[in-house]
Amino acid sequence: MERMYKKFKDVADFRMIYIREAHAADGPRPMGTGKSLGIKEHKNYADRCQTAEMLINDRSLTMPMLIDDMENTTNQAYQAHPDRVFLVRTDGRLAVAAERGPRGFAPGLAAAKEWLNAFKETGEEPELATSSEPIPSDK
Amino acid sequence: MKHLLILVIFAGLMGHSAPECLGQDSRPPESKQPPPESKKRNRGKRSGRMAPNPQQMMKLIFENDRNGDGEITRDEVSGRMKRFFERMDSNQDGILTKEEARTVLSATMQNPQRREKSTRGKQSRNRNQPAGLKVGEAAPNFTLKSLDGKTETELAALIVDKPVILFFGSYT
Repeated sequence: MERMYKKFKDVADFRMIYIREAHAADGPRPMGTGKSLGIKEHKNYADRCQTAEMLINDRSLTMPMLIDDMENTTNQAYQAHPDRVFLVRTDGRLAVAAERGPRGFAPGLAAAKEWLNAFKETGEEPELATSSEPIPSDK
Repeated sequence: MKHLLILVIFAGLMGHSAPECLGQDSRPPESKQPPPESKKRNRGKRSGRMAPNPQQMMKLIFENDRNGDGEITRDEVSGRMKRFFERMDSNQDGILTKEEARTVLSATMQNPQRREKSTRGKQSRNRNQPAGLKVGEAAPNFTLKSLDGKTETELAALIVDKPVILFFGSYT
């Protein structure tokens, strides 16, 4: 993700949108770093910003980050929880809408990369990413 | 009773919790007229918790058509049915035609998961929103603050010159 940003940041804008923790220690599915570091569900916006900052430092992210509001408006609009990749064309349509969650993240990255490569070469926006995954039938 | 059933079924479809509906609607249906055919009524009852198919729903809805002209006008519905009427009346002209009802119903019922999810409560709330975004669809606009809170970014402004890649995620 970070590599991709560095490679393509001149041709496209990248934004990481920080949303609700997927595996907070006190959340519904505590595991991994959430559990080991004792990261709790954000109670307010400041909490959320603080954890977001930890994420940036931990993974040395340079990509611009936006923080979803405490009503999770953007998360809901995009149905993004726990994580999800999108690519938006300049006409506002989605060229990549990966599956939600870890299952869709890598294919989403691959699809976005393919799209960006084509865009970089031709200077024209490809219609749709060929390898984008179908939308999940949430389980 | 029949009205209540319709309401409950509808409530489920529209993503509200049924108990909430039941709790608030203490007003009895204004209709004094008996339903035109009692067998329809039975059918409605039988459907109970299981949501009926679109044909059954159509029948239930059009039992409100008191003058039998094949359309429901705003003053033919009463009580909480009014709210659903407003939702079904897609062109908001105060007349619900069979065509309109059919369109809304098929759109709602084609997505059986939605129904199932609406009973699952808080956790699934964000999944009841527009059924997953697909390639080719318009990206919902948003305006969000950066981490330092100093700048606000709007998607619509961002995509003007370059395509945008969005990564949604959290720390864990």
